[in-house]
Amino acid sequence: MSKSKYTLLILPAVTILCFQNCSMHADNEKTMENSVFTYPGAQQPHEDREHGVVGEQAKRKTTSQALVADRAYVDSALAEIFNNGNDLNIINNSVVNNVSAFGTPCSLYMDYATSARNANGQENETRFDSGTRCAVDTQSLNAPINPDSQVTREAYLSFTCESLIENTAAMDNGLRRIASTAPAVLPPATDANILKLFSLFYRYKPAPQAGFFQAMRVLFANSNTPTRDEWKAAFYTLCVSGHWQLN
Amino acid sequence: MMMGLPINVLMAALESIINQAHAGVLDNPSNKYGVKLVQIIMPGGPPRWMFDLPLTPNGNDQFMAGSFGNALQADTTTNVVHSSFKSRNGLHVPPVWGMNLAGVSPFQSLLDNALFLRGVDGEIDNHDLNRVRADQPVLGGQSISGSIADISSNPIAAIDMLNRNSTFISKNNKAVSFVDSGVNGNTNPVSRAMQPFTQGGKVFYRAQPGWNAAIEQALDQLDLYAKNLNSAKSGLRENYAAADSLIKEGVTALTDRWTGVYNKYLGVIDAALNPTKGSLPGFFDKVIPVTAGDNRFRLSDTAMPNMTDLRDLTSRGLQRRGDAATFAAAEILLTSGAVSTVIMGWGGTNNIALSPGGNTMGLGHDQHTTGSAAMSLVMNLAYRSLIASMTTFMDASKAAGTWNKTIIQTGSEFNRNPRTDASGADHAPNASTVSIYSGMINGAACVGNVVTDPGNNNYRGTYGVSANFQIEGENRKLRFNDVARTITAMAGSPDIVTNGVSLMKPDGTGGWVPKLKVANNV
Repeated sequence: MSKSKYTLLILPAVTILCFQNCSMHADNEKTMENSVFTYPGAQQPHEDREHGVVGEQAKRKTTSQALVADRAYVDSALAEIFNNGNDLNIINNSVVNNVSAFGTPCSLYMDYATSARNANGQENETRFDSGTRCAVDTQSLNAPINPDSQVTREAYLSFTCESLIENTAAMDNGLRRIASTAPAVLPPATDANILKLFSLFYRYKPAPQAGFFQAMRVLFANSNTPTRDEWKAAFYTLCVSGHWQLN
Repeated sequence: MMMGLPINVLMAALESIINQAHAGVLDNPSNKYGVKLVQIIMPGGPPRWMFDLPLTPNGNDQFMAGSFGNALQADTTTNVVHSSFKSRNGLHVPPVWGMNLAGVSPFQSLLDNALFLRGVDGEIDNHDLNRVRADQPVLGGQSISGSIADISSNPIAAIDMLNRNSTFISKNNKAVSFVDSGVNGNTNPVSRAMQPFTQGGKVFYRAQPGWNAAIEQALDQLDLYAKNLNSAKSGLRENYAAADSLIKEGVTALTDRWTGVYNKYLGVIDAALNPTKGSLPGFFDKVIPVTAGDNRFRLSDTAMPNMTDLRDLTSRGLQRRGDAATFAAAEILLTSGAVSTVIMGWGGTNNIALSPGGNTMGLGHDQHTTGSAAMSLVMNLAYRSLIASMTTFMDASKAAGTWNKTIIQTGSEFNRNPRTDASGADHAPNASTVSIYSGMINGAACVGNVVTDPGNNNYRGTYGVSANFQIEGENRKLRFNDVARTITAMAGSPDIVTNGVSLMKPDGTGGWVPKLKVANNV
């Protein structure tokens, strides 16, 4: 057998040995999932290189901080929950145009809008609406690319949340996301509906622990017959909680 | 009510505990007594040798008068150029430091905590870039203001009242809050700065302890959820709590102080700009007749008319309302613990209305007529108002117990070189100056060598052109990197440059003194 043929046989075997710990293990995934989605006492997440021979002493500690979403994300998230086409100014004034607090410099293209399609179905030419979405000036160009949580930002967010839930149309729209019968018939404050509310803000995130539902139920005097004010308080709580802004 | 009595009582107790934990965001020691920075950026290139560039700091330095308004020396100009005022610890500084003002602490008290860095080589001759480099020594890099904001915990990291292409850059992504441009007596920048905390808090549950406590409980659960999900963000909940506390407490106590503090600075500035003729010994204390067309008396780009006395220029009353507004805002926001860093401008001679021959005229900011008697008169009075304002600020800071951690930094786009006939002096970026005032500094000090004669026939004389000296093993000129490293060392904030040296060192008693006591004319 030639030397090259030996190589062809040995190479796959070596490759498998070297990278077996990097392959996708159903058990590992579950372990990781458990460590993330369960609470104290669960197995901690670990790195691949910790498998086998690496002892506890040699574990490398890493730290990371979640990124705080920029104004574009906050804008789209809040608009999806509350916006009914008429309330954009609340979010625009407090979030979108507040570049120093919510971050990311303006893009010139944010100020372009596409007009309605013409009779031939073609889009009319884009037009420049200076300052309607984001004033392109020195302040905005110097806005932080990776915005961080700030006291002023949380104050603006609190005001935005407050303004949205106090706006009848916006709050109606939010309630409709919980139950289509709203606002005429307010949805009961069941765990299922509180989870719906939670998921509006915490998108694609696993369900919270039981303690959260217990705490939220305190907001409602009678879960079966909640008042609008109680739902407003519930929306406000989720809105200002902040962690939904983390990526 | 939504809950029964026992729960209400429980919630009220919980609310009380939460309130205690969140109470007094502004009074929190780290906010109130942490390091503070006031950056005063002067527009254009004001002649710094009338203010914070001692040309004969040791009293016996070699000095070439050169082009400092030669024709007028006998009457006026010599007095405003030489460093004729002697500080308590023997530093000779420009005579404006001796022009005290009734009702304001002697300017000497500010000199007791002063460092003059002269002969800084600005390297670039460009209005915008040099102004930026006062804060960002490396263009596009970190800023001094951002470095100090990064170590602060104040509710508002930084306020920019200068609003001309902000220089603030924070490594920790702290935000700078912009206060409307054109700060003047008609606006209340404190109200604008505190707006995030004054526009909310009107919803029904704010007034009901039970609701608040219930919301806090739910927020605690969401914190726990995020931590367990490894997606928590340190400081996020704390920032919300601080914001919520400020909203609930209301910050009207700060905005309500505005009128009184603003009027205090307005009074100080008005008095400094408009002395009774002859009331300042040795300074324009004689009648100075003006002949129309004589360039020695030129002001701005306009030739002066015939005047019986040059000093009548100020007869209409000079005002700097914008300066009063910015100093008032700085005092309120910094001494209260609301803000850690203030970037502000100072008007200098910009927009000062003068009345030569009864005709009002505006005076530009760029001082291209440096060297004329008229400009010397106005500029000295303007600097007098700046020193009086800083001294007033210092007094307020001392009263609040914050002066020992407060740093004032003055900068401009460059210095200016003088000409005899006032036909138009030019930029002098190679003769830049930075002065620093802080309760951390013990005594008055001057650091930096300057050239006795720059060797330029147009601009002969000693006006601060930088010269080499030994700086920790290197024979070189001072640079903005050294200035930045000096300030961040004193502040204990992160370095923002990879070279440069701190020119100050701890004196062992909690204060700072110059590491290099070199200030020669060579």
